[in-house]
Amino acid sequence: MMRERAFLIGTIFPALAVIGFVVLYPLVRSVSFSLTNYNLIFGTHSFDGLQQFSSLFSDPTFYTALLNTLLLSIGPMLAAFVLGFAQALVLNQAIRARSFFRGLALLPWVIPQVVVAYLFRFMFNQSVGVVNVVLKGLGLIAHSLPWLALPHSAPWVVGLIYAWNEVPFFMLMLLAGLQSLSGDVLEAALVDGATPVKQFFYIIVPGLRRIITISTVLIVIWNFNNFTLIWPTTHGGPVNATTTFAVWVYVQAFENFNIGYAAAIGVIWLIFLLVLTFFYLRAVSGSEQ
Amino acid sequence: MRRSVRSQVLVGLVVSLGVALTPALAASCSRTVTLRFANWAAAEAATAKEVNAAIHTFEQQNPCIKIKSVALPYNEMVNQLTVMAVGGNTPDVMEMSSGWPQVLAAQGALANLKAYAPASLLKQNFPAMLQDGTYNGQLVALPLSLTPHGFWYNKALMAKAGLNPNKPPTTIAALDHDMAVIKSKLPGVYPMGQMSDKALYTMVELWPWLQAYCPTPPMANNHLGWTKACTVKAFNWFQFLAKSGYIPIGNDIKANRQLLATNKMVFEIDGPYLRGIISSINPAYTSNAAFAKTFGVEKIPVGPSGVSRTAIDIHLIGMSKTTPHPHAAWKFIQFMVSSPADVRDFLIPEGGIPPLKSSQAAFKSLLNQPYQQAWVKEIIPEARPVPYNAAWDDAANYMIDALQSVLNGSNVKQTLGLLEDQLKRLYPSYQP
Repeated sequence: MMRERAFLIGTIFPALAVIGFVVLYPLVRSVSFSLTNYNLIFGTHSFDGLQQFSSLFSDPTFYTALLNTLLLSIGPMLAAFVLGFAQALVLNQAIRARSFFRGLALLPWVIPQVVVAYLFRFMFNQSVGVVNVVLKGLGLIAHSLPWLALPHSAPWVVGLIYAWNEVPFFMLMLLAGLQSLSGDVLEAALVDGATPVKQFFYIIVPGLRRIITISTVLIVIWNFNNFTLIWPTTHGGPVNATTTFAVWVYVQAFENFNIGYAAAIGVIWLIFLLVLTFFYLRAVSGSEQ
Repeated sequence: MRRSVRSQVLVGLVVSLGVALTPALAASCSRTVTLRFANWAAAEAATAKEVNAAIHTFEQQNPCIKIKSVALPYNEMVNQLTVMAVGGNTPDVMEMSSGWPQVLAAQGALANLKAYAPASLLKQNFPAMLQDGTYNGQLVALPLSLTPHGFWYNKALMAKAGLNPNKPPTTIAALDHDMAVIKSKLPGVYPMGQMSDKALYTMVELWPWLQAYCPTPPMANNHLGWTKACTVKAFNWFQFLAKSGYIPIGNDIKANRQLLATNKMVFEIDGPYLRGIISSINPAYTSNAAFAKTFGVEKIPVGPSGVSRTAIDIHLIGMSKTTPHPHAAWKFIQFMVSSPADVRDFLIPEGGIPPLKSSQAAFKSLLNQPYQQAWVKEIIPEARPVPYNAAWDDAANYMIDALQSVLNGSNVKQTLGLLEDQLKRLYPSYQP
């Protein structure tokens, strides 16, 4: 019994050590930095209590970044979910060239995010962007607009980029779910005279509940952490209209070298992520049961 | 007898070998010093060959010193240098852009070059350029290549709009007039470029205009100065440019250069290296004649401040405070700023103007293009430093936010009031 225990501890220990080194240590270090005035440029590094948090909560950028992070996490997820679900339903039917279309639908997911960001940046460029050309051609706008430079349009464009990039993920997850639904139940409903709308709301959606929960929470977490789609397109501008926690931490830590402040933002960010992770883990454990 | 001949031949061979090896032995070193030289020139295809050639020449002239070029991308370089300095791993010598010496010197990473630079060398520099490499009274970097911004204009487009291509606007009032004409006559062409993306370089482009409006621009002499009447006027003008559609909003420098090079923009402020950038974008302007026929450059138009001023945005070179080989490092710095070989093979081909007045005189024949003459005679003497300091990057983010707000139609006075409050927190000792 003792030997078995020692063996178990011996085999688990390397993994625990790695996790401790790459997860726990940086986490503890970040929290400790957030309690200091650590600044690489001014060379300050002393205990500062909760001063960084106090400054953070009195900084209007914090609330802008929080709101942007929440909106850009949830808004594009909802849009991508609806479109992804629609795609999954279509691609679950016995249509011609189904495999080809399934492959095609995955394209936005397989393109690296930096490439996606630059593609959209060029598409929405005021001088040479195709979006302005098309909208002007259709008579919807009179002059080319700097979509990514206007505070009221930039968040929408960034949201669109997120959504475009995430549709295939929902399609893939929900298509897998649809294929695992029992055909007998759907056939029985059809025989009982259930309309396609009723089938969708009373059979398909409840049947996919776990997958929907897991995939939506996952996407919200990913969006919460996304940096690659925002930085190349707007750098968090204009006027912080697309500044999220991820962008703000980067600016504070790696442009201003204000490590203590960046760590304080990181701690608040982490608390939000822990809440989301809690829901994710609950959904996963529910699905396993 | 045979033996004696053999010995004579052998002695002759040894003597000949000795004679042949004498210079090499004289040049050999008891100890070779290796210096790490961090620079962006080696990281860019357009300048890598030139900087490597300069390094090679230096090594030939100084066989006891080897240079290890550390190529870093320009956009990343100040961050990398900061991290290196914090880690106690600062390169021995480093190329820098304006504003970086202050950031690195605040960390105590740069040596005071006054201890090494002879008065004769300092005298050959422009005092304002030396000021750009000064931090708290210490000379922490020497000017390497003079690249302040001038006012570029497209003569062909001016003529097309019915303007006199040989008379570019020299005042802001004339510029406003010309922009109105261009806007009405040339649809699809931007009268002027003004960066407004969230990049620190945006402030470099903005500064000459602030200097045109304010005799003492904001942040100078420990004053914030964002709510002064002249600053408000300058921002009102930026808003007017955006509202009138004279400038594209949100563009970065690359987008504006692209528009200028492809005849879709008439005016833009930029450095002398724009000549090379334009021909790399549009090969039609590769020859000096074709370029000079279409593009001209002038000093910045005069505004209400009454003088033409441009912001100093130059390349500098500095030495690590902790280098174990300060004398070798100084020798290399001196070579880079003053050696005729470096001026001829690196500084001029790179697209800048050599920092020393004596070099500018000595290489007159290589600086004879109209645009180069404009820099030597008109633009460089009018250049003044941007009041860079250690917290500049942080402050610039707020300044760019204010600019973007104003370009998007926000109330100018309120926006600048908010900016002043934000900066007050960063610079508590500054006066309004």
